[in-house]
Amino acid sequence: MVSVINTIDTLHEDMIHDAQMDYYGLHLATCSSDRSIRIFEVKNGTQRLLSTLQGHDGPVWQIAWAHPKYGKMLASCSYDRKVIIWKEQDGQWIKLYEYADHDSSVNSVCWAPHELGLILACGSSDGSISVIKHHGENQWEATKINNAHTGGCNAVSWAPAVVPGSLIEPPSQNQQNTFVKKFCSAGCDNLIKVWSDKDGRWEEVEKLQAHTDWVRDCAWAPSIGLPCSKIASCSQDRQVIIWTSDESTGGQWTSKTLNEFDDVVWHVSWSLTGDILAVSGGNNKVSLWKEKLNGDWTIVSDIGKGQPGSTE
Amino acid sequence: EPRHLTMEQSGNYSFSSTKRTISVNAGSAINALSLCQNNNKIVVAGRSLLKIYEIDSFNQIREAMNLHVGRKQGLNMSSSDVVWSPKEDNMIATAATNGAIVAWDLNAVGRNKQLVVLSDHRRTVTKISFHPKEPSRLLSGSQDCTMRMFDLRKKECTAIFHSKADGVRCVEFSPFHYFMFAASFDNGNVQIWDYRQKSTYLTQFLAHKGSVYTLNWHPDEEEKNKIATGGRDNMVKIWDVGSSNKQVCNIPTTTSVSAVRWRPTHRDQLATVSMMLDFSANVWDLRRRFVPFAYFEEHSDVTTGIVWKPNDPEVLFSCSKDGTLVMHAMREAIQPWLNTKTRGLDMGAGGRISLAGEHRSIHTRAQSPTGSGLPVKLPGIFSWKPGNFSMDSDWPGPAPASPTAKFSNSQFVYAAKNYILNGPEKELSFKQLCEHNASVMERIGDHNVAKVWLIIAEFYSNKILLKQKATHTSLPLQRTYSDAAPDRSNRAESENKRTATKSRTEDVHGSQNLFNGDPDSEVQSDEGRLIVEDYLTDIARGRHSEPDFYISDEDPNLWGYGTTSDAEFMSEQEWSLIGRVPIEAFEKKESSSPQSPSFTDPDSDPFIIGKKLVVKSSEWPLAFDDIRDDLTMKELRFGCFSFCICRYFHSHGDIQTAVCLLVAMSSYPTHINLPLDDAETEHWFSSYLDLLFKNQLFVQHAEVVKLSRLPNIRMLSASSTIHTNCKACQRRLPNTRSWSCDRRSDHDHHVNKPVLCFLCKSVVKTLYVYCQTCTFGGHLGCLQAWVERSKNRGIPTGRCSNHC
Repeated sequence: MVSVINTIDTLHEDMIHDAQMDYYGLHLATCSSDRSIRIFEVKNGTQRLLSTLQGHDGPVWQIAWAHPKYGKMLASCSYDRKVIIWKEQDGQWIKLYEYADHDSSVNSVCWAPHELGLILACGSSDGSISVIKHHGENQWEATKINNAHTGGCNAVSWAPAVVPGSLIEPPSQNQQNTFVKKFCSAGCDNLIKVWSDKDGRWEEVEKLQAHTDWVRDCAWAPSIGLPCSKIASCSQDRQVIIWTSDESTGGQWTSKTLNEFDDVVWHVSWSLTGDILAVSGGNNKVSLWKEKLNGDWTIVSDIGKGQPGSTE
Repeated sequence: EPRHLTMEQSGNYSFSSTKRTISVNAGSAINALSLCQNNNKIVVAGRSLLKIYEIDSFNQIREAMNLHVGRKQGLNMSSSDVVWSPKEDNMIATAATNGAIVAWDLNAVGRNKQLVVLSDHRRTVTKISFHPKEPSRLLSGSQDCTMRMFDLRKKECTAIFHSKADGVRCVEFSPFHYFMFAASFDNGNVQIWDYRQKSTYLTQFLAHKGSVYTLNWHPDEEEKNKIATGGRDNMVKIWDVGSSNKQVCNIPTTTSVSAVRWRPTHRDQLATVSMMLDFSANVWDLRRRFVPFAYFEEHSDVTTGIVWKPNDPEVLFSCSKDGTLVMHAMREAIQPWLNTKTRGLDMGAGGRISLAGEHRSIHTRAQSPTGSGLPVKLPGIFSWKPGNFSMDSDWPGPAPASPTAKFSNSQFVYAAKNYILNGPEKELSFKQLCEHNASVMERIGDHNVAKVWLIIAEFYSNKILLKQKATHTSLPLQRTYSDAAPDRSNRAESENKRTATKSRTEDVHGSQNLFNGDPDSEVQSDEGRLIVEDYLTDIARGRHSEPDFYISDEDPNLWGYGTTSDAEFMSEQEWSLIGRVPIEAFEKKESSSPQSPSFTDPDSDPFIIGKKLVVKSSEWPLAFDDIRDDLTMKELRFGCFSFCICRYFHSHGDIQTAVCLLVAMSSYPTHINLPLDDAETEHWFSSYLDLLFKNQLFVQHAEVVKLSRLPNIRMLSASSTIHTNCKACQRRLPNTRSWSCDRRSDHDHHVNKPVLCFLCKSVVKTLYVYCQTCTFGGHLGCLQAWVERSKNRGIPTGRCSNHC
């Protein structure tokens, strides 16, 4: 059974909005309404506060660790309309880059797969999505998708840098060249949109419609090269939907409702191998889901009420 | 809690359902506004502006009166503040930047409605306030560091209060303490006065860093000792001035606060506007200090004043330098909370899940100096680690061996650490190696994988033995025939079994489908079968024409063509080849299946195939005794068998087993070529290596790289090339052998900053040895000498703890 191994008093003064573990699972970054980001070392069930990053002028909504090959790097987005990229240098966290081109609160940040380079996507309440690309020597170039989601963008998530189906049909040379960067975004227009890079511009290639309320989060499943892509989305309408695109059906996305929950579903997160989905709903409850052979989803574990260390 | 707040607000919708945001343009910048006692008229004042607007019963705003008439009013008209008498509907007062205070009687006959001009202050009057009960009592605060009390009936100043501080920014009578008023100053102080006692203030406290631009008494009688202050330090602070001047709460905003106003009937809410940068009017809730509860974005320039409609907390008026007066409806406010996720979730390396949320059971920090006096729901963060799923009764479905392998990181790490992959190095036979690895998996409870190792051991140990024997014969051709010989001798036996075999063939194909994985991987299983058939053909041909019949993808065409003379033999061979081994294997499965509870729900677990393969270990030798000497057959079957196993594991995310099997098999000099595509296995390897790296299993990482036979993977170990950057110009050096930068001609940086040995301080031109952590380094010789001298105390700097 899944058990709580750690409860961390973060000493944040207000609500925590996100907690992300780094690539190795050794460091935990948390961000809070109190405008700070805290970095903890989590080891053997204990944790140690390493640093507190101050720099935002508003609640910090989300944080994302970059791949360690770029060093210890963290992106954060905030109500203050800014995105800050932090980097640890000589044990000190410094602001590497500050992006302030959004007109409203920035709700989500997500690093692209490391194979694509250092690229960050940011979704904002002003409805736009920015894609910030690193060009070396701290030169960053931003591309903005205006009016991506009417009413605001709530989440962004990159597609894995694996060509779907590469496991079955090993990619030939020219196939690799035709690999396109893709990401999905979720918005207040109840939609999930899939964006694709076309000669440096971002084009909406797919509009996934099934939710009946704001889509809170979306997550593109990591792929090991099987010929199908999966996106999980969760919404204010209390549903979690799994979107599947199969090459065999011509890349059409089909939706399947994972479950209807009792409360708003806030977050979805895939395991590294993309076979287990964690869903966080009301009451601090997390449930883990796994796909059965017949394509149905089954609950693997349920964390929350009644568990040791839980909220009740 | 945000949801609660939202509910509360939505509950009030009907209350003000007809109201919506309305904007009027006054013509020039507005500095201040004030509502009359009946809340149906509003006065706005600016540098050359004084107008009264009327709010009609349809909630429309229209201009009712313009008091800025004539040209000679001059500087007295440059209003910095305006207040409407809370008692008399016809009385308003304005404060001017030249220090004059003008009282207006709106009922006066004629164009000039000025009642009196009071020019006592010598510098700008920043703020004026009417006494809430006495209509003629007016208080003013000025940049000349004094506050003055006026009696508008006597038309004179009745009292002067010397602040002994700095310029006055704001003054306000307490709505409930009859004799009390508060004043705030440019030096950050707030003073509480009793106006009967003119010599000195009652109390004073330092409220902000820098000017305190605004203050507001709480409008609720139960909270009559509370004051909100806002200052240049971007803070709103709430004070209890009852007994001690205690800070109750603060709200950090993004810009300096120029006005703060409590929201009527909402005890914990207040509105603020900013002096610069942020043009919006924000409504805050003390229970959520860091993000506005709501905000309005109508203005296009600095918002200078705000006032709530006292009898309707859903309406906020604001005025701005852009010249507009706006009546905001709360229900049209932007509510950033709605965009906020109140949970954080992440599933990280090793299946750890972290969740951020509220920890409701802790209230201890409510008393902290920065915390609010209200019950604070403390944030908490939890991270869960999926432990052992399998033996728990809560586990859905009766799967005794569950998909822990790819899920549980500890198992992954344990297996990675304990697997022996390089048999020859440890002088283990292949069988011993497999048995060791099987025991590793047994120990962590993954019986499926353990069995797979044992099966592989059974299959391959003979083959590898054989190969070792065959090397003595030195002629591959002979070896092939000797391999084949037992098979031929067994042909009679095969013939005998043929009838039986035939009847089972259907089963075999069925089993094979099962074997090849779940229904999703139809393509895969087809491909698998195809390869099996090719393989058979190849073997059959190889028997006659080729010295080495081991499958190799180097030249598949070589096997593709041939005479059909041995077609019959081939088919026969196929029967026996496909037939015997699988049937024997799967028969066991079938016989054991009733014992295994997992068969009751085959869909519940993708590992079902693995399970079907698993039979009691004691039964295995039995099964293989029959065919022990039929080496060719086994080898044939093993090829596709291991191939299928690897693919199977991989398709279910268990890269570890797939790769370890491959590595272990290929570690022996007489390795078996599997019918696997290089690109595919490369993909497996890189996935596995990535996982190892992620778990910081660098030793295992290196070992796998070393043992891999794939050129691209092996390159990984060679490609640890470090691109060296020139120390001076940060450009990549042209080649790794030289320490000189090709831009030397452009810069003279090498003269200034040559690469120095840290020890002998001379320029290093040849081999530069350095620590990868602290980049300390120098001549190899120097370092060696130093290390010998210091006897492993590490490198000679204090910067790095590595004992490089």
